[in-house]
Amino acid sequence: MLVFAASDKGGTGRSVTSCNVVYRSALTGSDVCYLDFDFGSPTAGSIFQITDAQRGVRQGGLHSYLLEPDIQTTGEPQRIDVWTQSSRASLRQRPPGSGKLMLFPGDQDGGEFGPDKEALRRCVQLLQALDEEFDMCLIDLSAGRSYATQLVLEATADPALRGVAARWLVFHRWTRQHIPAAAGLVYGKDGILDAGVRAGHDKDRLQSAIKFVRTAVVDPDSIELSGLRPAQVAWLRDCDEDLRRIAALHQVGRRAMLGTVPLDPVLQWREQLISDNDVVARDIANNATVDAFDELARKIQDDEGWAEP
Amino acid sequence: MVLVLGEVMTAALRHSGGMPRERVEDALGLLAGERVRISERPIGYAVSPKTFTGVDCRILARSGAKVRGVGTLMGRACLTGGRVLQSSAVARIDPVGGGYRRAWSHYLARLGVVEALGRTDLPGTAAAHLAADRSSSTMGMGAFCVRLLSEIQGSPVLDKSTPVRARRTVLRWAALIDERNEGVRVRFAVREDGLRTVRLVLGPAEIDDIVDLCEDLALHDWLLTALMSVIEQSQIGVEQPAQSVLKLRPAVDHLLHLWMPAARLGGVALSVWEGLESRPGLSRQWDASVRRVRDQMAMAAALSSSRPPESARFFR
Ligand SMILES: Nc1ncnc2c1ncn2[C@@H]1O[C@H](COP(=O)(O)OP(=O)(O)OP(=O)(O)O)[C@@H](O)[C@H]1O
Ligand SMILES: [Mg+2]
Repeated sequence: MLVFAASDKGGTGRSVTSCNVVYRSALTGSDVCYLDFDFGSPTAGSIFQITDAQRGVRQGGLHSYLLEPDIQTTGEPQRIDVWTQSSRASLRQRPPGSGKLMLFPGDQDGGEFGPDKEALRRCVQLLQALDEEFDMCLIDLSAGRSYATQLVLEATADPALRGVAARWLVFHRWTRQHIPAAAGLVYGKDGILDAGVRAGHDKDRLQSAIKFVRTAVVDPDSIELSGLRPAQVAWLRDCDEDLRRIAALHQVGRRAMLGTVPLDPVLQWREQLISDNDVVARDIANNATVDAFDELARKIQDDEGWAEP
Repeated sequence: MVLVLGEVMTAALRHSGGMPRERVEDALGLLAGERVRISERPIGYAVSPKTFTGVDCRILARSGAKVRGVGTLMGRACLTGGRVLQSSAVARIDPVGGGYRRAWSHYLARLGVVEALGRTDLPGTAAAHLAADRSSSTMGMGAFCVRLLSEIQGSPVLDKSTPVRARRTVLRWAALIDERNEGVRVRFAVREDGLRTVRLVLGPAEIDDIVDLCEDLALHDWLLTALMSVIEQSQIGVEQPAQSVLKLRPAVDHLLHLWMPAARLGGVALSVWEGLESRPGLSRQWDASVRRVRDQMAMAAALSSSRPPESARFFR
């Protein structure tokens, strides 16, 4: 299965949430990989804490795989086994029964690029080969209407990938600006649906394969907020109600939503994977956050939630 | 001395269950207009017509010296047991004096040959070919293999569901043929990045026979790798036997019956297999793995017969 992670704005939590979801899936035994298609700022290496690939690799990353088809290469980009290469000790103890957890990093000196026939061909070949090997391949795209997004829309419309499940997650923060922005990325002019139809996708089918994920959401009823005065809680509730209305208005309401990730103190502080150890032994991250990642991981693979209407 | 270089890429066909014979022809026939060759015994086997691609590139020798290589690579694809798909890239390296490129008609009259223009060190070229990383292969052989494999894996004839999840494996080989050699010497190595290398030194031999041999080695190495990874995932001894067996099932359905070393080979190839069996003992490792799978099935079956019916459901 191919899963594409998109967002209209930068800094929505797209990469951090995706990395955590991929990690939780691997823990449950799925073979998973993460492809850093955010060519302008490939940060997945730092989230997985890969020392030599904090901002992408020096050569052979996804960007050069797609764009520098040197005759001497085999047509395989560099891969990093997170279980053995992470500098984080708790990750290096791969739990028994867990699946593969592989990172395909970007390049340090990447950057956006324009339409390219050869890049499209290589993209199709890569997704095809990885789909043979992994239960889930998550592709982290650049924010906004990027060429990376157009490229994968064209790739998934290619006959060679017909029959391969492809799902889209659109990440957005739970705010007055972010909700309409996320809607615009999907339904607006030159958005995912527009570009998808131009690439040869069926509109309804594509739309049923797109779900929204709300990140860093403040839940007025959570215990963390128990110190607030009643008036503050009431106000937060009003805000939340207001946001729900806006979301429904923009077709980003409950039915189009896959899940919600609460605001987490650890993630607020830095981009990282949250281990069970962070929640249980160290008590610094919230259980609700890990539950949200687990739930997302489960729902992504659950065919029922993705049926066409 | 004659040097032949090659690379084989192996993958599970993206189709649930085995491919029926008529469809195999459609899938492999993509590569060229000619006919697919099919045999049924001792195991289902189909091979595509040969296809060729032009190259003009640097060829590296171990010493770091480079020469220009111009000519064509031969490519083909084959399918074994309706399930395991392979693509091959092969070229004979012919050293020629003088450092200039001829008209293409010259190279088209020598399909499957790459001429090395200038001073060429054949054993050094073989060594460099085998020593390179998985991601950098001589004359773009790897990319050619990917292209052949991808074309078939993307065919509309296939239902695109992969019965066993496994990484494609790459086996890179070099054969040094010399009239004066007697018998064969073979060195098989498993490298860290999932790359396998085979170095052959042998007397007079047909290139097609060597390609058959290397594809057969790659096939069995892939089967063993895939079986071992299924066993690892099944967590024998950690999970309940019934759970392990569920995970072992794809191996039983799709892999176990395909093990038949050298089934279609003769002559030189047979003696290479004999040599390999005595040292790394591929078959011994395979047999041991198969025994673990069967033991686990037997144990789960025994346990389930003494349990309530819902746990027996796995064995219908
Ligand atoms: N649930 C959360 N709670 C609190 N902070 C979060 C949460 N999710 C993400 N963040 C923080 O938000 C910031 C942006 O996250 P991230 O880098 O994943 O966003 P992004 O959408 O990938 O951004 P970019 O477009 O720059 O790639 C990070 O500092 C991250 O730690
Ligand atoms: Mg990011």
